[in-house]
Amino acid sequence: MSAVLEVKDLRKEFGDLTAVDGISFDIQEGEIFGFLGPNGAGKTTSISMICGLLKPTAGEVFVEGVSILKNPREVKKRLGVVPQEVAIYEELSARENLSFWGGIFGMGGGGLKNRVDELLEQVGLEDRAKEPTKNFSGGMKRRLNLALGLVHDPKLILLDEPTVGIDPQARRNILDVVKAIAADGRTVLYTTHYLEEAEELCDRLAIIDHGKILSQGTVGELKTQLGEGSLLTVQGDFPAAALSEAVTGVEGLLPIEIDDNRAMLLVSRDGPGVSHSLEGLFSQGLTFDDITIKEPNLEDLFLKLTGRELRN
Amino acid sequence: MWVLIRKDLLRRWRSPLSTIVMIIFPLFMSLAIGSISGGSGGGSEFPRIKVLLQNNDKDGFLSNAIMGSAGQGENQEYLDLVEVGDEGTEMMNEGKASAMIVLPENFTAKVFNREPVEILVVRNPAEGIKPEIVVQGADVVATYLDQGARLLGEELGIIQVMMESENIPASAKVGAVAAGITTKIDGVEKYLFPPLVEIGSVKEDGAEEDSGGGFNVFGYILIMTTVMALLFVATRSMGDIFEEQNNGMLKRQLSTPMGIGMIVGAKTVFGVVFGVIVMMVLGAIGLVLGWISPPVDLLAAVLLGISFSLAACGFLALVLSLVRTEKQAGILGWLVIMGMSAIGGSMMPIDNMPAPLQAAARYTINFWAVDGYTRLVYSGEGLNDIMGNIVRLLIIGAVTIMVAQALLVRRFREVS
Repeated sequence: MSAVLEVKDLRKEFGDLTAVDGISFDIQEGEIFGFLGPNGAGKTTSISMICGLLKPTAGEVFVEGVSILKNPREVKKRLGVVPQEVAIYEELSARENLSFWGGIFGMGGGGLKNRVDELLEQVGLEDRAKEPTKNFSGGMKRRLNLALGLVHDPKLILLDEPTVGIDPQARRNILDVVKAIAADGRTVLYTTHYLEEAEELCDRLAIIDHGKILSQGTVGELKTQLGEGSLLTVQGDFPAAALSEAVTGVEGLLPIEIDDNRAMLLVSRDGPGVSHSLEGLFSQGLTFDDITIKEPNLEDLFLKLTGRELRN
Repeated sequence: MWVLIRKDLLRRWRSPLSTIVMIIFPLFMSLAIGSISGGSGGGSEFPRIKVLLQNNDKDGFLSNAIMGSAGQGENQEYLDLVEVGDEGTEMMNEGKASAMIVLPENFTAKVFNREPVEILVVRNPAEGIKPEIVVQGADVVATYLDQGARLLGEELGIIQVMMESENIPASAKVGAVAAGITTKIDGVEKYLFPPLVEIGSVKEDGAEEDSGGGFNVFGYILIMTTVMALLFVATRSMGDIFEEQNNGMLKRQLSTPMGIGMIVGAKTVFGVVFGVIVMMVLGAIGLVLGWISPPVDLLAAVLLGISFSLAACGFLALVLSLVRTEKQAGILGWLVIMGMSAIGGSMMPIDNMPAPLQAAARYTINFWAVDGYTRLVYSGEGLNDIMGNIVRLLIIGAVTIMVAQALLVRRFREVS
């Protein structure tokens, strides 16, 4: 496989604010690469630089080896951008919107008509194709918003939070379409702050916050960064320092995140187990109001990497 | 570019409310102002028109009758008549009157002898509507004289003898003449004759003019307000780029191979095309309603429309390029349109304005459009006559579009 997208040391500053702070990653052909991070993490700014809307302060972006800075027109022909906000002409029908965007990319005639028909069916809008889109529900508009980015059959598709604020049915449709286009050999960069989507869709993903990529890899690789084992979350009336001291005395128990009255700990798979860990803590005089044991997920990793929850 | 223009035309077609408002506005204004000005006969609505009367047929019965009747009745409300001699030409040269009516030597004799004769109306070229009113008024007089001379030549001869006689004519003789006149009028009122008496209209500089279409106050106001409406069309067209910025469409278009220069250029072309369409629709409605006559030179009318739309789009694009937001664009655009329309003759006839404002009007694009269309529709002028207007508007359009394009491209290069 060859890299369809290469991002090298990309950086964007707005005055004193560093929105994107030297990120690097690449995406292979046919891969769905996720950008997982909270609002304001720098996802949209990164996508804006990748598609040529913003000029980077530093760094480079290559699409199939072509630099966006040196040859933006050539790169833009290969990109399909689906912006976070629904960007459609509400006076026009779904078919007219699709035909317009196809026309921008030089498509026309029977080829365009067939492609429009195909996309309308794919996003489930074939029955409402001639209706002005101002009558559409939010989910229908989102589906059309996605289709507009695909009409010219681009090599690389940039999806910026395409499922924000829609019903589960429309979300399901969008996720299915994204899977289908990737299965068709297209490459996808997918930004989201929904963990479930990232876990379900992405072959690889990067966790981004404050403009920096904190970690990247497959979902499995990322989860192992927490360590192999179970996550033990305890809540009660205890100071962070007391719990930290207690944890160091228990075999197979590792701290992930410890605050006053709340702590997340990893019970190592190779250690004596959860019961032994809890007994170790109780024996040091600690009591808890609530105890949760679960397998670690990306949310936990995000918490470990950033000290805050993804949806905050 | 055609894809972008077609898209915007389709959007206007699908969502026609704003377009309908832009079309209704000039029609409504024409109807409202026209009714107030012309319908109720409120003399105070119109300024008095200063007209010089030069009678070169001093002893003629008809010329004296015309001179005497000119200042009677309703004419007193509208006309400020001054009888002049040879100094009339000099007064016209100095722009001291809107028009001068010249009755030629032997006018009466020629009319009675049924020889062709011409009443000359000298117009002040610096004024638009007032001289036109004089021409139309004189045309009515000429029509009456023409018909009367053809029909009642014999009776007029008898009347002239009676008038010149020192004796009071016998009642029977007067009755016979009156009966003859009545019978003739009743018999031929439905028939038309080629004119014996014609109106010749010249500008103060001596250039002869075609007669053009009949003046209609509704049509005149329609021209004025259509020009203003086209400015709103231009604002709407160019301001659309801000709307597209707000709803994310601009950003989305810029993520395609299309550059911002192409997008701004397409908006300008769309504005011109849309403006010409609106102008043609309003012109057609004006024709159907009988408010305006078809211009003698249709090509000139179309070229003037294109050049004005171009100037309007360029000018408004320049104004919009100086603001940051759609709201600011709306406010500033509105102020500029109102200002230019007030000064430039879209709200009131230029002739009615004080001299300083009349001079300032020439610096607005409205003036050149209103002036051009008034001359095309009411003076029967053609492309050559209004070429100056077209060239001025094209130059303004080209310059403002280039500057605005540069500013807007810089503005929207990074839209996030």
